[in-house]
Amino acid sequence: MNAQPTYVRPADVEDAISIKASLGPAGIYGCGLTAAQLGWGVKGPEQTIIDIAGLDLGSDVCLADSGSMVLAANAPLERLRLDPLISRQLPWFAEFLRYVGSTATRNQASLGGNLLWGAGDLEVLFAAVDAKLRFAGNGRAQSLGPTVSDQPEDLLISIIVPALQGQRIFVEKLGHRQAFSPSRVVVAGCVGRQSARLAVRLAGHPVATVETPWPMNWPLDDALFAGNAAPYLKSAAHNLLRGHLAQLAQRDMA
Amino acid sequence: MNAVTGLEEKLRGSFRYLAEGQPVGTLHGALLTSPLAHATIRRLDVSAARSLNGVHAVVTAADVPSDFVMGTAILDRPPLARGKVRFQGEPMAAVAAETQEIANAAIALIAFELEPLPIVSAPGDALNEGAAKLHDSGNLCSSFIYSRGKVDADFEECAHVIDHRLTTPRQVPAAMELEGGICIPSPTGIELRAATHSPFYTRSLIASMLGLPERDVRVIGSPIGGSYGGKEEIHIQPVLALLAWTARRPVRLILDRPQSMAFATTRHPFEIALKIGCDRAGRLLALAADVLVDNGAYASFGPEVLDTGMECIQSAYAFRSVKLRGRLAYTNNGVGGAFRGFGALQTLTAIELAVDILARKAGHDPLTFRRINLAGANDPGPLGQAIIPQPELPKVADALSSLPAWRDETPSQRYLSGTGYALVRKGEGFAGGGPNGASGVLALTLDGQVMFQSSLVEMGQGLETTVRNTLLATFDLDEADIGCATGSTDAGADSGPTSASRGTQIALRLIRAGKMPFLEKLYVGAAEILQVPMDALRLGPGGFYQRMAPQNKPDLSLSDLAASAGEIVTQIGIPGIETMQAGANVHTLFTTCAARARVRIDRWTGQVACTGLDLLPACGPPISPVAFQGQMTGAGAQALGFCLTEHQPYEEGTVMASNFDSYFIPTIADVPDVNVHPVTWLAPDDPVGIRGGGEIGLNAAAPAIANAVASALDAAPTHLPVRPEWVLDALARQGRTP
Repeated sequence: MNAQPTYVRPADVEDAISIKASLGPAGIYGCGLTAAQLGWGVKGPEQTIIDIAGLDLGSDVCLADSGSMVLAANAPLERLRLDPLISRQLPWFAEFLRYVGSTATRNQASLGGNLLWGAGDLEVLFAAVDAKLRFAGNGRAQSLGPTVSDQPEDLLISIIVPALQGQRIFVEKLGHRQAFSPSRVVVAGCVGRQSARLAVRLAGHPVATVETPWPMNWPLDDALFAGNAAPYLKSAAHNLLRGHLAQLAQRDMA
Repeated sequence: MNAVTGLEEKLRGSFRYLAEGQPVGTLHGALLTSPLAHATIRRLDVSAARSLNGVHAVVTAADVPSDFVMGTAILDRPPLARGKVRFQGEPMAAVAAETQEIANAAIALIAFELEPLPIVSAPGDALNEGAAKLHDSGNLCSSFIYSRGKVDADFEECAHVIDHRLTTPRQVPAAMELEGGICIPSPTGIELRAATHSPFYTRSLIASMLGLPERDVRVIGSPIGGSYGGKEEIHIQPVLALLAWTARRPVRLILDRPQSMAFATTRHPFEIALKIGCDRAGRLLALAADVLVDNGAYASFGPEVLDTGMECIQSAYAFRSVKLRGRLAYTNNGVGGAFRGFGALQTLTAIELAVDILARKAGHDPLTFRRINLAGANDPGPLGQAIIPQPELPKVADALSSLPAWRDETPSQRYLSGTGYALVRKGEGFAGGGPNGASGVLALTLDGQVMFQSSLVEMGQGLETTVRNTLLATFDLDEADIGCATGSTDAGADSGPTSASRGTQIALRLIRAGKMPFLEKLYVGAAEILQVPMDALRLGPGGFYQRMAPQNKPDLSLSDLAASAGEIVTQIGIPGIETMQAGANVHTLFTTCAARARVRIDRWTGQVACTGLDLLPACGPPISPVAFQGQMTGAGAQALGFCLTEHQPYEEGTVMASNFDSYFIPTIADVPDVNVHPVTWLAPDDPVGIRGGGEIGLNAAAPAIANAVASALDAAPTHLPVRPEWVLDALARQGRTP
């Protein structure tokens, strides 16, 4: 029998921060939460969920003067998938979203939730493009990576995708079937003229990221493939990265 | 006409399963299930649960007659665990209470103590001396032995011999509707509304358990929200009936998905070892097969599944000699049971893989090899039994060979593709001893409808649509003139189970058998009322017309006929088509199907996708083409799951996938267009008529998909579902990884 989680719905960002301050570790920020439920098992979280789904965190999608894209942390994934600006500026993101959860899940799940959940597919893609997380309060921006907590003390406000002129992006998820499946492997790469940034997640492991010169020096860095992951996952991830990179290299040569 | 039962409700999302229409005041049921896979029940104290306010009934094995056990060939399963538990998720007690929360709280108050017993997790281990025994009789639930001819000598004579091993998955029915129902007691009996394939069998069982006359138990078994065999089993009906009878109040009990994943019967995993050989000309000479089946904790339909699998292990081919051994072992891995394809799926997939391997080794293309080895039209059945002749076999083979070629795929460094074929046959209905006969009723009701009544069950296969189409064609009536009542004991006529692909075939045979006697009664009644000879009348839309004075409306409407003559009823009985054979349970009627599948294999990830599927079922002309297409498309999807994605793993008796986020049924994104090419020809002297399409598409699709994988990889799968790990290994062994 599932324990029913306790929710509070703050009026605005300040209210959310204030509630979090009063609850301390007994409160966590949440949004949508459909995706997070997969990690709850048979029991909901014991903390109070500070539901930020209804907060005004700005437009879902903004194109900054610098060319970077600012995405609201509580934007539902399906809304992002259908956003015309995303389709134009970040088509690889819109396309990849088709493989993240089902439509029903994407209607509920938020970008911030997927990135901080600890098993979200988008974390790999956003690590590859070196997206930054911007938190409330001191306005700090932080890269995705092991130092980001899945239950941050600060409220995640937005995600900034840097301008990626001339860079080639690839991303692929390997699941158990064509649609609506947890991922076994996600690989992504952002390849520029001089360097490439690659990211990999093998099921049950954190995202690994590596910067490498481009054209590449083979073989791929072993650090990308978590040490104790199943050999198959490593092989598949290796093949996927090598395949995508080889295709890009061929295009470069052409 | 393609009326679909409950179409509007289904489109509007307001369609309700049987467990969803509870009367006011219905109590809520809950189950206590075993957390352990094998244990002695040392203590089960329900006193605290019974004394909880709002609880109306708490039942355990102590409330069931001590000699009451369930099963078909072997009776070994109590509805509530008695003395020991044999699988994780086995019900030990049940509660009926005012609210679900109270019922759940009462379950939590039941104190129990389980003393763990050694877990038997592999069928091979189960049969070892010294293995812990699940039942007093030992762990060998059932066995099968058959031989014909001189196998050893024939293998000596073979120019080519191959061995192949295949293990098959534990597939979960994964029906959308969970096991559940409502039971409403009266002072003298009960009404049980719970999905079943066989309302009369369920009635008999429940009446026996409660000590009631059968006439006091009413069973409504349909509609069913998907079964695939899972609801052919008795599921929670006995516990539900016990709760309602004890509480003297209506009770609703329905499993949740994790409970269902542990409790529902699954497809039996088979371990199949085959050796087959052929001569230089490619003629199959000998087959040796050894099959070991993981039956789970209770017999259920296991013995019948084993027998059917062994009967089908020669597929549609004529081997000169065979030597077959099959064993069914009890384990603590849930309970295996009836499942679409019923044992044949496993062995047909294995033999069709082996046939392709042998064909390649002997230098024949797989289609020619199949064609030259087909059983003869008038040959005895696979176990030497008399069967209905199968002149359609070469026609199916020819149709398979004549399929248009696939469109070429764009060459790719990443993907490999392969095409596979299969040509199979499987017994339809039950083996000798049945139940194979059936009863039904044709009636002119008092409101003027020609009604076909049977206890056959609509479960989404289109039975009612087919019946209605047949009634229209048989009696030349309007849609408003006909009706169909199915799925309950109300029919008063036991049509037997809707299982083993027999439902449609039986319904049509009943209508055919009842047509003339029923029409005679109608004509006699109409002639009397109109005072004309019978041959001056014609039955048509709305009623009877005088042949010599045609009008645009009937001279006697069906409702006027019923008003004058009263209800006109014809009881129909048809005999079983069956052969009794000493020492083996054999079928008499076989259905044939061929299939062609194409797969695409990802050399980077090892993933396999099915990109094309053709099915050629030889079932005669489909009565309801849309329903038939639906059956075949569903069969294709289920075959895909069997071959590529589905397996319910157990580790030391613990069920590992308790929901659909870890058990992967194919979605619409995985299923290609399934092209159905019905082989409609039936021999002019065919005594049966159309064959059922419930299972045969699945039985052909799976081996075709497996063979397509083998063709693409030049390596035949030894384990299903095909794991991407195995694919990458196979490619690596051949130096074909990227």
